Amino acid sequence: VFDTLTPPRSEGCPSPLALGEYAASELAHDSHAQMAAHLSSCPRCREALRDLDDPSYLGSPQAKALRAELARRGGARPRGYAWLGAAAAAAAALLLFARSPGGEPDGARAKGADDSITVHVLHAGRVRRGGDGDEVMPGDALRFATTSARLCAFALYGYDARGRLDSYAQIDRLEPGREVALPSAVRLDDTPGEERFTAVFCDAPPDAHALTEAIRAGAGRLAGFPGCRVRSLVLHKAVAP
Amino acid sequence: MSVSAAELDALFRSHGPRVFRRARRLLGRDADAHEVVQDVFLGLVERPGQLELRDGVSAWFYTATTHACLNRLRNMRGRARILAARGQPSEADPQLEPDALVQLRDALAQLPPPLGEVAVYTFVDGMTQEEIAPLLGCSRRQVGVLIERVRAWGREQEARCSTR
Repeated sequence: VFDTLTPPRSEGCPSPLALGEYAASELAHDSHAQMAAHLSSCPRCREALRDLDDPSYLGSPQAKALRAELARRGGARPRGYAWLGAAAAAAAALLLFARSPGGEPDGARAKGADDSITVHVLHAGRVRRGGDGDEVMPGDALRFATTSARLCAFALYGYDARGRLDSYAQIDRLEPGREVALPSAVRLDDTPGEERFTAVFCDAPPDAHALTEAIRAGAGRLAGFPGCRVRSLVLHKAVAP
Repeated sequence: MSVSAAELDALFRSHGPRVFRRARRLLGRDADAHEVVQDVFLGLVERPGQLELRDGVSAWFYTATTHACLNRLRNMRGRARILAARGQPSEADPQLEPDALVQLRDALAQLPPPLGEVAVYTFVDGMTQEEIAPLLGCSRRQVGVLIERVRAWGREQEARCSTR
């Protein structure tokens, strides 16, 4: 049965996963540009991309019911940093990651007005506060949290020395006045150089395409974006020993 | 950790439609695809650490959806057997789809992990061994070995059918 199937993918066309990563701005700069060029000349892949992100699903009764259930269940469990559990010898480090009694994260803050992002670094099983300009190593894991001054839409992007732009978080309604731990951690690869993280706090969900293109145009630097307040954090990744 | 309601909602709106599309493609029925979306997102609420330390959120949803679909296919096959034993019609409707897809789903339902995953990535998605390796966390060479095992399993099944 396997070999009788029609080949699902034409020569030169991206995989469904790669299309999804393109749509989510998770591809490196070069790969993103290559994909954009391919899409401009391949109607089949353009159709596949449209199909992939067809928003009609979100209007279905099942999707609405599930969304309501997720809203009910989200954040119901105690906050912590479970990703540490995936790392060896992280149990002790977990204590270091606990929030302070006042609710303030004890990681470095990239601050402007009251919007901030914080980062913690897991290195060799130990957690430390990350700070703007800090040195990190390949294989380190980063965990971000953010606080906003007022209700806003939030997004966080990372841009590495190779020109790869990653989208780490997109939250359309970030409630003000409390720290929100972002859902995924970042494992650093072995590309040495600057890792620039850009957080935007916007009055309304920004145009993701325009925003990512602006970050790319500035090689990871974003001075400003209409309707958004921008905060950034730079880490320096050393060469693996 | 937990995932806040706002984070979950953002993940659902950006990845929910893709999870649904993929599940419908693999399973063939909207009702099953809706249940897979539910499995994936409620599973994320229960075990948010699953998202951690992945190269990308898209890759996590992609593999999680594949696992959930294969589990459902395996369960559906078991249910179909029970219904058949009771003399009731199964839920699958082969009239709706080409024979090859129906046969493929039947084969996927019988393949144990990670062969089922390898079969989906290779024969349904058309991914290369290099693309599959990071999804399974193994080498390209190991992926090649697994694909050969899938093919050998398929030949064995064909031989069984032809001798019946």
